[in-house]
Amino acid sequence: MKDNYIFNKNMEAFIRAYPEEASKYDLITNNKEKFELETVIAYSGEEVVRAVLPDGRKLMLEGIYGKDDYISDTIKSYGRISPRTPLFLVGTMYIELVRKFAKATNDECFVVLYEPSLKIFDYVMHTMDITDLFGKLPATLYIEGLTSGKLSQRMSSMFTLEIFPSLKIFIAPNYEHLCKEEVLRASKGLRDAFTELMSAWHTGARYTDVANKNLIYNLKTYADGYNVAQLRGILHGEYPAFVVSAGPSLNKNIDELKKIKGRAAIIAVDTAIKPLLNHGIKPDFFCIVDGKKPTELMNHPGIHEIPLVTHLSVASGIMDLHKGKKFFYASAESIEDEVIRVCRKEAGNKKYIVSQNLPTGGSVANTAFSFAYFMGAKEVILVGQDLALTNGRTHADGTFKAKMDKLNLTEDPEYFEVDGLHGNKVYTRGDFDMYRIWFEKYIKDNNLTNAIDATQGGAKIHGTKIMTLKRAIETYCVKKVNLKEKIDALPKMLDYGARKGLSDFYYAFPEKLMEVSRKAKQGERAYRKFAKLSEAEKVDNKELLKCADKIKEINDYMNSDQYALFVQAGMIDIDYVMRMSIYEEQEDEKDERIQIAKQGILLNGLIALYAKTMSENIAVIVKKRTIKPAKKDINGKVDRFLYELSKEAR
Amino acid sequence: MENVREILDIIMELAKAKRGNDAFAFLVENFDAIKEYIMFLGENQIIGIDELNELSNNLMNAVENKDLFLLTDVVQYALISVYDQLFKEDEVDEKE
Repeated sequence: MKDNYIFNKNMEAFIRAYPEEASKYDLITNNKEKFELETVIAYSGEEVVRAVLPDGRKLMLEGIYGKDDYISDTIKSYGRISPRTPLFLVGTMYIELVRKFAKATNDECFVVLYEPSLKIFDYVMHTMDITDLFGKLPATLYIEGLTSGKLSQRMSSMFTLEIFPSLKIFIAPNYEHLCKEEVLRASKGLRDAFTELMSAWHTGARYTDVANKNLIYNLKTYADGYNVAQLRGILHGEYPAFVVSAGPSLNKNIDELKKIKGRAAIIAVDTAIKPLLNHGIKPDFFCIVDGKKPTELMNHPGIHEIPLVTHLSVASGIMDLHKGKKFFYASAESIEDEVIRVCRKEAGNKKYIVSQNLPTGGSVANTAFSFAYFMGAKEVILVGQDLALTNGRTHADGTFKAKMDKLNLTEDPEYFEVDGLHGNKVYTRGDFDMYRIWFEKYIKDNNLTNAIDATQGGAKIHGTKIMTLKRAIETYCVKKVNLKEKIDALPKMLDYGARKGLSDFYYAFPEKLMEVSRKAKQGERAYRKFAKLSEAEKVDNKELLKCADKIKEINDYMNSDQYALFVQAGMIDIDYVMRMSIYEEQEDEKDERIQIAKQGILLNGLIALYAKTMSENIAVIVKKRTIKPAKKDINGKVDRFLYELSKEAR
Repeated sequence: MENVREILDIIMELAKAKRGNDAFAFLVENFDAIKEYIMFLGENQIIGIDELNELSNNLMNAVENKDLFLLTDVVQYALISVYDQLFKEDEVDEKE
């Protein structure tokens, strides 16, 4: 029976937890679902609900005889539910299952509750107290028609790769008949979420193997580099910045940029640099974030004059090719913290030796956008930021190819439609859309009212003002600014002392990795002993505890030492196997201990091997690419003092 | 009567395997045995006449509407559940 008291109570909690969805609740009245709901009396005397289809078929949504038992039996069928087990549940009517699931895991679970039917959700809101779903329960709710964004995105943000193998799925009875399309879409969404996680992991794997190598290679250029922290607020909120990307529409308005004539900062993303230089436009900066960007993309004689905004893991080929100024921001590599630490320790001037992050959503344009705000741009104007496949092309001509290929968008399921800049619909793809969502979130989170989209076509970025490039230049480029002069006046990030710190760190690197290898060997031995003790008929608890202490000591080292973490970051293929088995349940405690020991032996054995191999490879690099502090690096009195004390001076 | 538990188990197995058509076909094929069991429940006043009617009605609804969930609800939580209560108790009695 519908109850307004329950509804109001639920609604109050719903508004607090899901304000966006709650604001659209009125859509329920326009519901076009083709079934009706009616109640019947269950064996227990309580009301249960069933759906009546247009053809007269009546389908029960709850059990007449075993409403509660059905839920208990479902939970039992899952066996022992380990903490961190994910659950994907379709049908809010079965919230009791979420409660029992959460209880079984002490609230340490991940639940995505999907409701494909607004009619059923409205019924639940009127008949069941579900206030705990809006806060207390570890569940996230996705209601078809009310929740924006893709279900697969919600799932991939909730479920991590390592917990996916233990995922439990529950689809409420007869939903496959009532909401066939939605249920099918949800199962596809689940598959997409898994694919997305796997692809993100593969991307990580693709870059991790080069990231470490790039990082060591790039330390040499880092020694002569600058820090983006030196550019903080350089535009003083007085000048605009143009972020130029290489979307297909850039072909249409690239020449307009010539009119800026030193009255704004121009930041080019990596792929836009060549087309800009080819059109005689010299950006003030260009950004690169990619560890595998082909060197050819930057191969232009004019490139050295343009300061590069980059980080330590960027493709080393490009870093070597570009002889100009490089401004470093923090990479995601934790070893960089150690680089900063050793440089600061020895530096006379520590001011700019900092780990300066630039927020990003994964694309270089996202980084360039946050960099523009970091510099204190009065307005940030996006150009060539299509985030869509304008005219069936991914990028502007002159980027990857002189004339880019045209794709067939309607037949490939990879492409889908989103709102276009001019009220139209445009085709996009998953990664582009993810970057667009990031822009929108960044604008919203930072209450930005001065982001302008001057892209000629493409997907709409909500929160930006839409303007033609011509008008944007006329409106905002009103004051001359000599950025080059300001940039030329900046000192290098590392002075003599800091370079010395970096140099010591660099040459000690191979030995530090050998230390990781030795520790891992100790860990492997400890796990072997642990396995042997666990397999014994009569367990020697005292010895077992002693061994566990040793293992803990090694594990703590592996989880905190920067060099050990550096080695493990390069082992992402192995990490996958370990992740997939980490939450596997064993029959009993003994089996579990043996399983843990097996994984420990394998992991430590591999760390030992990887660390040794890396150490040998890096020893070759540091021998070839020397970093030596010299008299020319002296900057200030403290630096001179440090230099006078050093061996080089004597 | 003796093999009714086995029949009910097979229906449940087919339903759990989402073989709805096979489950309904098997039910229809063995309807006499199930009917006999339901009648037995009524005749021995294990369930009241209203409950008997309700049970038959729900089973028929499951078949007519091809509602596999209702079928499993009736079979698992009414027919099998009562069967187990009756005959498991008998087994205990016999042992005593």
